[in-house]
Amino acid sequence: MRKNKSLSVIVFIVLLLGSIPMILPFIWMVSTSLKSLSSTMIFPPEFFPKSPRWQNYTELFSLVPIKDWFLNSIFLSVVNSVGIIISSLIVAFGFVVLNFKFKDVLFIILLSTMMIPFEAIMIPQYILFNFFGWVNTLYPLWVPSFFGSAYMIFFARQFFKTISKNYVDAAKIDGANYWQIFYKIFIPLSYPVIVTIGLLTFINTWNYFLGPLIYLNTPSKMTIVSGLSFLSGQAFGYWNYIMAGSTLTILPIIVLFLITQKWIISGIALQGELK
Amino acid sequence: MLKKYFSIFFIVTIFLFGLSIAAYGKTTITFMDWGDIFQIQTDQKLVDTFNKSQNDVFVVLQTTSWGAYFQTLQNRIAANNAPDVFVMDGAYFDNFAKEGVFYDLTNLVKTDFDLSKYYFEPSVCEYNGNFYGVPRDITIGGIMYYNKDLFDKAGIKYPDWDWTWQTWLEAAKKLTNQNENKWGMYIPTYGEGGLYQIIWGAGGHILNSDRTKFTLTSTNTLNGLQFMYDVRYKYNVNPSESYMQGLSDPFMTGNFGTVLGLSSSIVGYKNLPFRWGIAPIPKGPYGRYMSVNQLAFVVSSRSKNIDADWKFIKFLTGPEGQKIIAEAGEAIPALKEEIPIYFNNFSNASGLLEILNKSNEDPSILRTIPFTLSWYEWENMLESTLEYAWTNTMSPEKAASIAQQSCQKILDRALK
Repeated sequence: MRKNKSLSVIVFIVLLLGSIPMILPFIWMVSTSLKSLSSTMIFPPEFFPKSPRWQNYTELFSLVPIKDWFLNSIFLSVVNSVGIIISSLIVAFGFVVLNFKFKDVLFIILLSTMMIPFEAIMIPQYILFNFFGWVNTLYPLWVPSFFGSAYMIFFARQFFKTISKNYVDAAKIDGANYWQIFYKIFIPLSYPVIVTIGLLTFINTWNYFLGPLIYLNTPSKMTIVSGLSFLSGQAFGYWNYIMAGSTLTILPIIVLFLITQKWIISGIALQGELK
Repeated sequence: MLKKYFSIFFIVTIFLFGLSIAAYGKTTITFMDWGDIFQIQTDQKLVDTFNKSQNDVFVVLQTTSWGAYFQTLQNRIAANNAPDVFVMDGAYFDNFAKEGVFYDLTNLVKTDFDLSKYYFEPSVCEYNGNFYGVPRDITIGGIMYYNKDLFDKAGIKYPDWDWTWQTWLEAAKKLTNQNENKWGMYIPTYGEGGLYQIIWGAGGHILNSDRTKFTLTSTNTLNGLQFMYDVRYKYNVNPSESYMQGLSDPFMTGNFGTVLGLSSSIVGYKNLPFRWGIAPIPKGPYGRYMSVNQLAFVVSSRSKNIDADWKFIKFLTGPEGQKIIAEAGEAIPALKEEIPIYFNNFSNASGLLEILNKSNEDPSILRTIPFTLSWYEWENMLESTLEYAWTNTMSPEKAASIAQQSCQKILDRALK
């Protein structure tokens, strides 16, 4: 018993020491968000401002359209999660259960799209969305999610492969068509995958920086992450406001993490198993 | 089933496309600029004032942050969706002009624009003898910001027009106290901030007069580079580059007696907790030289509303538009008569007004940045190669000869 106790104390201390460098940037972020602009620049830097400037947060709200940015971010993250869940599950189901001509070719094309860097398709994609008249709207940022995401399709496909073929055969004998097999058998079994895909997509969309910057021309249409870039100019940045905005940005993600902790850990384990 | 969904998608797409066509009709032009939230407010004010002042042209403002501007611009040009009027930087001007991105404004400028009233930089407005841009604002580089509190504490007189590099060094020695993290000077290692001006003051040049060959290994240029090295490693009045890592704006820390920098920093220094002023760069062995850079307004070669664009540009460069730019304090207007208004906001910066006034009597103290095709490429190469000297890894001569070769390669390729 004693051995176990001392071991757990050592583990605890190691974890505590390891967590300090991880949490340091966040402490710095919050402390900078409470400084005046000139005190962000002093050297040697001070960790805790002598008189915390809480007005930075209220001033931030009047300086930039933060409410709009938050609403845009939440809208995009939620819609993208829904879109990717729906489209990825449907496509993965198709690849696993259905048999059709060119199935293998299509799958290889799907995989190869994962290897193309964004910079290579950025301009053609822009030309396409400009043709639709979607520049300076949010459409380019969520409509594509309803057309699947290669990584999520692959992930869902790996999971679906573990579902025994017997279920499908039995359902076919009972007279079910493929849609019924999909939402009566596969979806109820896929809750861990759905949550994982949803969470990953939510966080990725929340953090997506480049897309809004390219397609949106008006500051009020931006997402919170891209919008904060307007607080740094060519010569210097308003670091205290940027940090205040960043603190507000990560708060929803932290809340989301705390609520869905259990799912995330089992989701990461799931990804490991399926590889 | 699939056909039904596809046709719905198709209809929705056509509908959205049609919506965007319906928006056309009146003479609407688009104006694109970059900026932080305050600069965008200034641009919005310019656009709103113009729109209210007349009924023929309606301007729509489109903005990006500074980091995304040129990528967004290239995307839009490629998609044939370029803004009608936009802002251009010297670093990219030649490259874009060569590609035919700009509308040729030569006739309009010759008949309807008085260049003599402006600070005018040919390298940001002219290409191959034609005018493609008109001046928006100016940035002076290599001016000396000095911390009055530190000078008072050390009992030194403030810098003035008599200062030489010798006087500067002596003052810097008195102001440096490494134990207290106090330094006498900082000369930035990037071109516009200090490197060019020191080379010029030593009698050297970056390029020859027709900007085809680099002159980084000439004796005078090397003397300038040697001065930059010596202040760091011989006189120890300027910190090493490893010390400077992470110090994005040294002057704001309050630990530096003098810092060379750009006039665009003035707006960020407005509320510093110490008193400060601006002085001209001290005289080097071959004189004192500061740099003058400019942003220009340009028109897209594919714009369908040249008359409307020009009307808007006349407003932007006229007294009313330049006054709005001056009052906002973000940039010094290019129109000379509006310049004093800028300084109403910044009493600390009156030294710069003195520099500008003196330059009207003696234009030689302001030199243009040697922009060429592929400027960004060779400038990055130059700065990163010379970094070896500033980190004391290599002697300035060796670094300069490597830079000479690499930069010349880049320029030769661009000029082919």
